[in-house]
Amino acid sequence: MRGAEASLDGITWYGAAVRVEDVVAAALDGVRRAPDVSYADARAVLAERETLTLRIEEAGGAPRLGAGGAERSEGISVRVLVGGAWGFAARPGITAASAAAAAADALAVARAGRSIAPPTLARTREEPGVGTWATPVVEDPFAVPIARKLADLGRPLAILGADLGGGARLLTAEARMLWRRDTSTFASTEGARTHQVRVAGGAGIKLIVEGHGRVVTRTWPMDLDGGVLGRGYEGVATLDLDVHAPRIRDEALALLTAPPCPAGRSTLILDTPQLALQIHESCGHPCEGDRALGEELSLAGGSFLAPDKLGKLTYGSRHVNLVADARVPGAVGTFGWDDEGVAARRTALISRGRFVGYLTGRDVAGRLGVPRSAGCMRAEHHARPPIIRMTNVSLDPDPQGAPSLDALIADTTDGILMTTNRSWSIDDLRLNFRFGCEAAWKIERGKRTQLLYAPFYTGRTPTFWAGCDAIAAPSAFQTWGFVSCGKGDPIQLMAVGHGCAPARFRDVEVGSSA
Amino acid sequence: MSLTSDALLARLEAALGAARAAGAAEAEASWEGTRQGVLRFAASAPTQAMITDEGKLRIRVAVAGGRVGSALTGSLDDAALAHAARAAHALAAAAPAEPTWGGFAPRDPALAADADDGAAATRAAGPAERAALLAQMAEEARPHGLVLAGRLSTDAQTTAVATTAGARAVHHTTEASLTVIAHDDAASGYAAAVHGDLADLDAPALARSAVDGALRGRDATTVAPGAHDVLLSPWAVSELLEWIALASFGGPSVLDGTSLLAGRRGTPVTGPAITLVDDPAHAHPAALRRPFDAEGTRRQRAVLIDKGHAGDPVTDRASAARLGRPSTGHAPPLGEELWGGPFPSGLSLAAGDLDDAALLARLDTGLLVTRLHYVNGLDDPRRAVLTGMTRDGLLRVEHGRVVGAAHNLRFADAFTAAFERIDGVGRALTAVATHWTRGGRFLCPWLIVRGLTFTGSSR
Repeated sequence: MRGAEASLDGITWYGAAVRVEDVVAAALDGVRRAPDVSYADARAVLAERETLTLRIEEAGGAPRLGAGGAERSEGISVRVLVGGAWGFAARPGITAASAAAAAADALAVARAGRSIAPPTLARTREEPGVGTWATPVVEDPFAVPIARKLADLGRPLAILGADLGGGARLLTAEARMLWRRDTSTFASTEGARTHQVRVAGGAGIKLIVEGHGRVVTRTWPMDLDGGVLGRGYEGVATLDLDVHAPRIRDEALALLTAPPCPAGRSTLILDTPQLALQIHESCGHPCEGDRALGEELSLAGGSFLAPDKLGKLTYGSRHVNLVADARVPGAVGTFGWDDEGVAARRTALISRGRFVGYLTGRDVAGRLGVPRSAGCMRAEHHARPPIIRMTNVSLDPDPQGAPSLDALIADTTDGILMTTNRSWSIDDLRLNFRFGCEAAWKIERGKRTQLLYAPFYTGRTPTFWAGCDAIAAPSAFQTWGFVSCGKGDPIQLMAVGHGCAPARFRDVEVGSSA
Repeated sequence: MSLTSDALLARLEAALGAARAAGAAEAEASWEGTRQGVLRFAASAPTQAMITDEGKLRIRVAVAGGRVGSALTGSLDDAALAHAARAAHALAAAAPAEPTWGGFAPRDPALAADADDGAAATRAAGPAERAALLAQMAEEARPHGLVLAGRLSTDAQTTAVATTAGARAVHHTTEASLTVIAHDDAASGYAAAVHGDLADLDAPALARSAVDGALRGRDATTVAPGAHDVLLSPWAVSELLEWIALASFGGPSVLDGTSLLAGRRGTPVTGPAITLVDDPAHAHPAALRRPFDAEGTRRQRAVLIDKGHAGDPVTDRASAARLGRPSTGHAPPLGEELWGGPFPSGLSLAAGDLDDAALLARLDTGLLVTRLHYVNGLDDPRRAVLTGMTRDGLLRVEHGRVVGAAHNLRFADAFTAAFERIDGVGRALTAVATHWTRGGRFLCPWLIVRGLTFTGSSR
């Protein structure tokens, strides 16, 4: 077992022992003596990915291999600050030549921007990170034989791909697994020097069936990324794919004839996979400081949480406490230091319903006038600059809350329970949202009753969170992760975590897309 | 990585050799490399500026029974190729048999072995040129009390494929693209363009267009949700079509039955105003010129929808084999296989006959939609149910004239039905870089749609 501390000196890159630290140091040597450079950092990254997909496309048919495979890339990047202008450059390979080339390009880019940039940048002062960190892993997923992984996917797939009966036709049954490991070495002209190995991965299952004029998709724990954790291969067992496969098969078949979700205003309970997405879109993104400053307008948009709202705006009810914490064990947004050498930390975003904090890096924190970075500067790989990203943005459970989803339902006279995101859309200020779900149920007199087809709910962020009147207890808390959160231009996909317990929202507009 | 065609093909040959050494009889080596210069800006000043040099080489191997494995590497040295070949072979050896496997792409005599349609101005542009263009654009906004946000990029791209079946092809190209938003606290306007040649990209004119949009967007009023006639810009049309294409125009979505094309070939799926084609020989000067896909198959003309009638999906070799037809040459870029599969990256919507004035006159009264935001089309792809928000300029039109601005609205509608209500198509096509899919470029006209459903407001 590898602990949270690990020595990574002499990392092996493609079988050749290279002193990565020396290469990173050489990259900085290339720029630190330039008189106009006030700060520089360099980052070497080995990114490893593996994705496996098994599919059955005819009931009782043989599985076939879907998209996926292995991926491995390495490179170095250099970031230089000249006056108020940043320059970033990246080259493939961890060599003295690639380091020198990246340094020269970064310097040229920064100098070219100086004439049109502010004369200086306000940046927070931070203790330069020094040390090593690694995701605690019991079983290295990259050492698990492919045959075993395919067998672990094949078991739930066989359940989903069996003959359905009842006039339903199986279109696709799918089981997917993904793994990622990022090994990075970072140094800055301020003395930061970190080595990290971050591991994440997981699995998911999906069923698409047709019948009665409908095509229904049902997944566990969610579509696209599946259930992603900041753990080793041991995390797959915790997803209970074999247990959930017959359940989602039965639900998919029932959805073929279920009535559409009725339109109107309703009490709404969200289970944890859907609530994680709600937190992501309506809290995580609007709390990004760069969005609040207008720096992401060209692609991702801005934020209704403008700087003059900090500490003043009522975001939600008194039940709502949201935090960003890069130190959550087992979550995908967990690390030792961010990609500008700032130590992982916890930052309150929403406290008792009030907006109190941003996701920031050193620059944005400086421009917002907050005293310290939230440690959120992260890059997808070596060839992208670090930008402000979520870490693990989570909704605190209520210690006095219902101990489980069923208990929360029992505490609800009438309403609707929705599960598992199907579609997501939110405006460029993160106010008006509409989320489609795979399934819903009526709640009548404290019991889950009728299954409902093609549900969605829609609203405005502060109104929606103001209607939150119950959050379940820590015993119902669960942390989920997404590895494909897109932001930046060129786009960067990032692994972010979201923990929550089921929660209840009053007076929400719901309907069906059918 | 800047490599000559000969040097690159030599590395692909080495990759095929590594695959053979790993035990594979059949193999494919595919490369995508990009040297990219980017300047992002906000408040008319740079926020991120970069030069990146990156590439991916994918090795795919096939072993007995059509078992195929794949591995990507970012390095071209011998050790990296050997590692990737072993990883691909290990996956292939463990994979289930694939009875429809039809082999890797053979040599195609109609495909130029070494093509270069790149532009010197784009390749030569450095950080100083990009900074100078931003300075020029900022001057267009400053007198109006506006600032600019956006992105200017200049890319030099190389793709290459070699297979043990004889395919050999290299393509060098360039792309210059600009998105620019002019804004103040009250309003914003948008413009964007993509060309192969930076010399064709008139950055100050685009900035002026965005400034004009922002000035028109001031003093917005609230429009009630409901059914509104709309004039959609090419940018809005492109984002709608991109979602429909992602959900429905690839072979796998027809095979799994979720596509709006599935089981409907030759039958009406939209109104007759919709003809959607991916044509590598399209005459538009900014049309996508990608001659072959990541598998080395020549990109074929594909008709997705013909005057409202469903056509055939685009395919890669695997989905084509299962559909019982040749590949159309639309395998996705390397590393994009998981998201959408085969994709019509050069999709064009047939132009109509209306110029700008005629479009406004035909609309008469309704909303002009400059741009959409965060569209999603996963709720019901068979009916192309799409929802999203307007942004950067929702304008009120009365009696053929823009009379003011409106606060942004959410739309939600089934576009198979909405496209039956098209009542006018612009005569000009605008090239639009795809938003969600790397490397795509759609050609879209302005479009009038009657009675589009809006369900909510940002206010």
